[in-house]
Amino acid sequence: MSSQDYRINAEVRRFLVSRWVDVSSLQIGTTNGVVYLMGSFEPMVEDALERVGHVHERDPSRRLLRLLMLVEKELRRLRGVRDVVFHLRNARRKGGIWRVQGPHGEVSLTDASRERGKSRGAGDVQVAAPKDEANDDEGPDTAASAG
Amino acid sequence: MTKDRTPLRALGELLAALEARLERHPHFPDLRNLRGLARTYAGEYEGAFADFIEALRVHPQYEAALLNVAWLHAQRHEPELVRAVLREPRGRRLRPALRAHLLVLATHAASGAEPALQVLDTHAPAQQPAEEPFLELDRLWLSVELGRWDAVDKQVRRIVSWQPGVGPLFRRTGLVGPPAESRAAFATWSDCYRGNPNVATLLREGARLRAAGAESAACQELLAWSAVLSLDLCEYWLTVGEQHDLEARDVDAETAFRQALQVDPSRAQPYIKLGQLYAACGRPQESIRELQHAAALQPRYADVRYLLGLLLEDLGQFEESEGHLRTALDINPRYTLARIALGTMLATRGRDREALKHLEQVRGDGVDSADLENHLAALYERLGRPEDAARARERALAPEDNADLD
Repeated sequence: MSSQDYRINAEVRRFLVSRWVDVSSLQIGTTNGVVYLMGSFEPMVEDALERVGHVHERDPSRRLLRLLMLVEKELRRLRGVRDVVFHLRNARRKGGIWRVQGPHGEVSLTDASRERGKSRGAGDVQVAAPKDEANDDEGPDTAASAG
Repeated sequence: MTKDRTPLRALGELLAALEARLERHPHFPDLRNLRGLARTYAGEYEGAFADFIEALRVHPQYEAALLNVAWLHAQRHEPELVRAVLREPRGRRLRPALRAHLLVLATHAASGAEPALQVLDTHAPAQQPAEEPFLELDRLWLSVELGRWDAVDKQVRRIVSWQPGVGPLFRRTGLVGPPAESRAAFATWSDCYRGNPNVATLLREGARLRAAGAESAACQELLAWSAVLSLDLCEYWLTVGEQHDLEARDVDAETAFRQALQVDPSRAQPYIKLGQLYAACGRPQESIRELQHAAALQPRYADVRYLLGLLLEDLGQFEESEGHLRTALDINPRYTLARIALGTMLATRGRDREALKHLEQVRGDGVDSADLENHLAALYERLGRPEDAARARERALAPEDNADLD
């Protein structure tokens, strides 16, 4: 870990707090510019998305995923960050689709840039998850494809 | 009472934030205890009681929750139940000063402020500093209730002479100032205190919410109130330092953490905060010095060991670094960041088989990272396993597609 990594780590922590993420539930580490976020990704307040200027989202699982995707996008823009690795207890990503287990089944949101085949660590992930792409039906693979 | 000044005015927002967190962690004792406090101040006594009892069920030796149970009984004017807490085994094990505090609460609930002050006098004479801030605060509270402003004034001066750092906070909250203002501020103070310095933890949580919303002035105000309601200046300065740190004011953060250290050098937390701050500011030697102090005070704190391991590795002190990282993993075998650090360090030292064991475990735990796969690929190659190396390189290109889902 270089001194740059410690600086990035502090910036990541500050950034997460400014986006109302509960950092007490997360382990945050940076190695050679790769940021690791491990544990549980949770907002400090229910209306975290609104507080950072985004539209209200009623469903708590969708709220969480939208905040997660927003945070990922912005973290990748921080100076010196090469990649962001999530290893979360309450949300998973596979093939560009973020999933979380909600009270009424699995909820998923699609990360559009992943669907277009961008590789990880490219540094500019577009979050394309308008309401009609979100799906909280039960089932293993419910996200609509992004375009 | 000037309601608009009360530091508990944002209680509803705090309660909502705690509710949301408890939905995800219903049995986390600290959260339960905190919500119990918030519910008590909101007048939701039944829910508060359930929270404290749940906190004690999960963590039977949780002293703050036990004190809160007794305090809640006092709020409900149930002095016999406060005494019942004192009679139960955990109550009998409380420090004498805390038992005296509960007796004061029971007497206050049964007979009011005057007899409670007499009970307090028998346990902590007014002329000398009490051995626990609880008792100083109780005396102040009872004197305010009885309208004995001379006694209040005298005691404030005594507290300030005993802890000079609290003086500016008494002024900031209006407790020290022109008489009319001071009395109004003390009415607010008394309404918040009600015999429980743990209210300060609630205010510090509120301050964290304000800080996240970049409401610096509101945050500082809440922190000042938390200090005058608990007299815990170490905790006050630590939280002030954290807020400065979050706003990237390194010099102010350092000053605040140093103040915390000065107030109580026996606590590990100020050293830890200074160590983390120095690491982020590129001052590794100072960081190591502070963290070593912290490790001496709290040898089983995995985060300290992890950070020491990283810093010592940077300075080429590999043996010491390895020792700290292994200790971190011994304390918490699921400390993935420490395992990654140990694995990558062993790899750079040419201890490929050991490195592989750790990094494969990280992958086995479900960590899905291009960087990790590249490390693994290099190790497989060096160990003569080209097929595994090729697979790892493939995973490095699109590792998330291999992630296991629950």
